[in-house]
Amino acid sequence: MTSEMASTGGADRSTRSGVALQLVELHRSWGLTRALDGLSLDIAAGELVAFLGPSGCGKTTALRIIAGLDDADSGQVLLEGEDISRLRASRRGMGMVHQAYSLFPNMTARDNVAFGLRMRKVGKVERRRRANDLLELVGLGAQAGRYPSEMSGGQQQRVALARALAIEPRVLLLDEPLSALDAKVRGELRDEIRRIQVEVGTTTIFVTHDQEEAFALADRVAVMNLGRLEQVAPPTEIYQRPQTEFVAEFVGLTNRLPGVARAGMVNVLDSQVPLLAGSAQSGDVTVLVRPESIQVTPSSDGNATVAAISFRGAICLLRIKLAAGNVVLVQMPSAESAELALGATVRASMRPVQVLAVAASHRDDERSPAGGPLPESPEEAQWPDPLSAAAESS
Amino acid sequence: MRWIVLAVVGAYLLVPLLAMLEFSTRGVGSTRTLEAWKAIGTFPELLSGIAVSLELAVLTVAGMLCLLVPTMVWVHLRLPGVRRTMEFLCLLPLTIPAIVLVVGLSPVFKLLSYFFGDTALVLAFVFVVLVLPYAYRSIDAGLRAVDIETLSEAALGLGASWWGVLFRIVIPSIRGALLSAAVLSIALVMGEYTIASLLNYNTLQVVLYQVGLRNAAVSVAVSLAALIFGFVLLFVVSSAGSRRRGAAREESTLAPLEGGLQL
Repeated sequence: MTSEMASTGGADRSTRSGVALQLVELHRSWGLTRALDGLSLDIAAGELVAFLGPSGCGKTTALRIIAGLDDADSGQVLLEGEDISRLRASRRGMGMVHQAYSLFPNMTARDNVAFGLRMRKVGKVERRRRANDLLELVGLGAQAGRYPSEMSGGQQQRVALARALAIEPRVLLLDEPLSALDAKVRGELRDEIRRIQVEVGTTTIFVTHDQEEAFALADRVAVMNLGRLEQVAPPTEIYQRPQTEFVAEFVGLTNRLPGVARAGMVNVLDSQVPLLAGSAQSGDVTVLVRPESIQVTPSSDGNATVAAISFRGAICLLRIKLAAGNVVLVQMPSAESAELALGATVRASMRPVQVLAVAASHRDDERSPAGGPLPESPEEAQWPDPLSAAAESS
Repeated sequence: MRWIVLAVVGAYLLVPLLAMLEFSTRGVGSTRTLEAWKAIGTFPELLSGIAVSLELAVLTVAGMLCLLVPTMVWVHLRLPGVRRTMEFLCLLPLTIPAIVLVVGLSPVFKLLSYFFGDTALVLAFVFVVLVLPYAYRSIDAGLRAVDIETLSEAALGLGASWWGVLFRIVIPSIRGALLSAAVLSIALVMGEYTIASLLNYNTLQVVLYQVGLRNAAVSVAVSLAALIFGFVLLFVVSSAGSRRRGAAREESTLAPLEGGLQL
């Protein structure tokens, strides 16, 4: 994936006022540390792409290079086919919202929003009108006269978003803009960013280490690791059809189960399921299985016992212990779990889904990461949150 | 407990001032007189000393700000590795005795006198060096208090030039720190005696000493007046910042009304 150009896809909206962006073989190193190692990506006009990855994977470096705040050692940034790699940040016309609160403390919300227009010598009346319009757009029309110190973190980030949009940016760059906010505000602002981006149609890159944010916002998610792109695809495909071991394990929860692959199929949990492209195709393999891809039914001659149960409303999480000793996490509809009891013998099998298999390694001897340690008692069980697991792990 | 502390500190600060007032208004016997205060105008060298010290304060503050602010901002943003070295250099004047400075600077002052004439204002060059430790500390605290890197990047991204970043974003954001640096510099310049005396320049403190040899009451009256003047000046300077912000807020609050009328 490193040298291969990730192709455009995903977004298919009618409101398109953005421009196409191309990253070509971007490299950036600090000493021996490679922050970017041949990053290539095409982003379509009006598309929202989320750069998702753990800390230090190079996603913010990529964003800063696009913004002109850092220079790549080699490679190009093309905007509508024009190379802007050597253009100063102030000339690129990129709107950026930073992770840290970045409002100018000596200016009111309105003056902050109007700042970029002032730099472009837009008349006072016009810039005030546009600043007011944008503050209305982000729901802060009544707070236009307030200073940043008089606003909450969520309000400040909304103003920062309005400020970035005020200059009608060619590309909107969002560098983990929600990470400093509490969960409730984060959710609200996330939805608002999506609404505004759809309304304005600006090409947008959203950097995050939180998969929930990436999935909720993006047309396509670019999963990064060690300065390289692991996979670029729509959120559903990233989750359901991971192309690499890293993507499968970074996104969502994954059980590692032993299996035997042959002719595009793999035998795992006494079931035959098809393999995803990129899987190891023969011999002993480790199969990466989502908790919801496993089916559990009561059976007196089963292959597992129920070690722990956690009721979560519509769904139920189970930890089952296989005969071989592996502890596996299972997610199933609560309605299907009514007959299951602690210590009951059950039959675990695969639902008919495609799975990714990798060559068996020393990690096969470890417990399944999603399964976790077997609890001494049900009360001691530590249950992962399927939605925020990746965010926590990063 | 708080009132006791305040009373002790207040007494510590006010008793010397009250003693100065008492001494400068002491008449024959137990009478009070303002003769010493009225006599201030009869010492023309006193007035010129005050003027020179004020001019030196202005020049020193201007020189310090022009030298230190862009350099420190640049070091903070672009050369963070040099920060330690810069701090060391700026704090160095604290460790050098005045007499060593004077001896070392004598040849420099001969050169300065050649270019600028025999004026006490050349002292501003050495005073800029003298105020560096205090000004550096103050400005450094201001720069650390705001995320100057993120703010400057945000401004650059919005189309500002480097000078635009400096004058529109950084300086207004650290205005309090700059005022503190200016206040400290003014206080130091107005009170400096050793270097001016050793280099034979008649600043306020030097003239005060000379007048004190001839008329102690006038000397104390001028000292007290200078102190009160200094307090007032520092109060005006430090309150300027908060007034400007208040004015900006008021203007911003009125803006929607203006916008509405224009529409």
